[in-house]
Amino acid sequence: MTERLSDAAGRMLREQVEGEDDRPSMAERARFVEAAVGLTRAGEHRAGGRMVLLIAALSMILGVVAVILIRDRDDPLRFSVGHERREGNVADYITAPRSDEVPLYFSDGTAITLEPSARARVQYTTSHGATVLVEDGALDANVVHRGDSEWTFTAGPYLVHVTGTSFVMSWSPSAGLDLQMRAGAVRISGPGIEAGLTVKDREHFASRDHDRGVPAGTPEPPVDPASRVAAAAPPQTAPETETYAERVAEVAVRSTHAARRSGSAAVPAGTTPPVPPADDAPPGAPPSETSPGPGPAPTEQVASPESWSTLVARGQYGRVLEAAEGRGNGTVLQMSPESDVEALADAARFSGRRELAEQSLKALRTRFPGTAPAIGATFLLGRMADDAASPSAAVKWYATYLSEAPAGAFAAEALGRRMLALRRLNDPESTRVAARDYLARFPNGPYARIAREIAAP
Amino acid sequence: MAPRSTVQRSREHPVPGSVSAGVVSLPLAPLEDAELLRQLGEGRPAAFRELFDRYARLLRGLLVRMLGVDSEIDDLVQESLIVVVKRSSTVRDPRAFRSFVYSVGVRVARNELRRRAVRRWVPWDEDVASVRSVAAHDPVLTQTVRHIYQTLDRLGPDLRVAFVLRFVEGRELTEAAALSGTSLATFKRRLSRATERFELLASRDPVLARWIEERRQP
Repeated sequence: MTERLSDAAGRMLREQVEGEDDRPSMAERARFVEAAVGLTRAGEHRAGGRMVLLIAALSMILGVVAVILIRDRDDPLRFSVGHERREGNVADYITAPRSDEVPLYFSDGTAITLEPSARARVQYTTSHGATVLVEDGALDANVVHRGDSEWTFTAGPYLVHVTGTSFVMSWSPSAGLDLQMRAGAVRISGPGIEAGLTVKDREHFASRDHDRGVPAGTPEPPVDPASRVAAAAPPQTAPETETYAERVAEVAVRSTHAARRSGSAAVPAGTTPPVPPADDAPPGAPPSETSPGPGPAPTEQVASPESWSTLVARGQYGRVLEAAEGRGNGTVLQMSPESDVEALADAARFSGRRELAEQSLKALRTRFPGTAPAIGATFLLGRMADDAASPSAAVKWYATYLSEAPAGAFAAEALGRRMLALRRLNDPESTRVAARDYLARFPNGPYARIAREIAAP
Repeated sequence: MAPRSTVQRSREHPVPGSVSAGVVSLPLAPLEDAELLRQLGEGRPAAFRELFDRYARLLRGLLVRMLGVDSEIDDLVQESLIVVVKRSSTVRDPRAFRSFVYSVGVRVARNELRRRAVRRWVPWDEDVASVRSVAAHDPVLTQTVRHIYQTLDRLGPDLRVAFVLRFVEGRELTEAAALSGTSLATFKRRLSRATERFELLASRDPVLARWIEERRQP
């Protein structure tokens, strides 16, 4: 019987299209492993560099249209400095002179006015907002509310998260944080209020050391974990608050008037030395671990306004480490938002900067206890100890993780690894107990086979 | 058709110490793939190397048979493996991992065929039909193979995938339907159209017509 033509053609291809060099090369293997590692780190990776001409052309056309349509939404916010609205640069150090305010105008309509003698910098901007580091002094903020607004003001150990609101705040290492709401709401986190505290309407927030009226020039006491929110105004119940509220009102009025004035005394970086007047700093105030120093040189720039987590996602760990060095690793660990500390921890881990990674993970635990990144940091500290052949430390971290998140995402892994670390410690009884614990919870888990071997009598 | 895949497996990932790896390795495969899946989920570089060692050759062979040998095959193998890594977490039964990898290769091949169909709107890309084979020293065979691929190029991606899965890969109908992501009825319909069209086009191709004629001669 004659073989059908299609069968014959299929057999021909099967037999003939089998090259002797079919085995993929080692170079291809290395290329794939590199891409896959990048994929797991970046979350997304495209293999190969092939382009299909027509699809590419269509994509480009669509892309151009899309860019035109959404450019303003996806670009990081731009901002200008001073009444003459000179272009502002991310990470530049901005000092308001003692006799005038310095307004910052952002492309989303947000306006922030640095009060006389205030020092601040716009750490970075995104398409949804910015992070502003207030080093010292007061500012008046009118943040335009959009659905996806994300603004953060960092002041010493405090973070003020804003979506859209109007408020006046001041910060100094010696006097603490004061914040007077005018409209909307903010969420403040910091020592004693790690979980965050919402301040809204016309409420007034003052960290307690400020309430106690610690005079400038006296050594700064340890930051009291307790902070409080007080309704702005009633003078008979909160004299300090009243004093502050009065000042706030005065500042607000001055700001309104100042906005109409022309001319500027702004000191954008690169134009005037950013050294604050000597008498600007609280006399005798000791350097605070939680407050930034005078800041880097005025020419310091963050290479890109992209967030650190974005850079980590792209595998650009060096840029994150470099940016952190620029700010000062200590400052980042003590003052930067959770996402930056987490990104720094990742960048340090992936770059083999073990010590910095540990410090970052521990900072996550200390500064943001109870949050998912902090709990995840506990597990990662265990993994790092594991990798460093420190099984006893690993066991402790895994145990801590399991107590913090008994049903957490890494629970199976932590239980299994804890069991193996105990075995490395030559502690057969504890290892057996750990194996039984593991099997009780994850009878089909990845460590089940070895756990059964260990648990077997 | 299971024996065929068993033989392929033994060639790609022999079990040390086994006399007849194709037979002995089969029961171990689920366990090995389970471990591989777990490690892929953890993003371990060693798992990526293992994935490549186990399946790159399988994918390369499939893609070559689907598309012919050309300069883009290595990229397509890479693309397939990356898709496997990305979607490995969706594999619930480790015993199905091998089929999963294979189906990813089929999808990548079909997508590539669609891209090439679009590309032919622009100038003809000679690379698409530049088939190389071990029979390169035999120009007649090489030319025949090339013309088979040129004929397949005229089937369209879906019909071509159906044709190759059935006649080149030798897959059973139900298995081929699953691998191509269609119902059995759809696959049968496509295969019928593919066969009819291929044989019509082949009979009109001078090189294939000669090859058909030679086959008929005793």
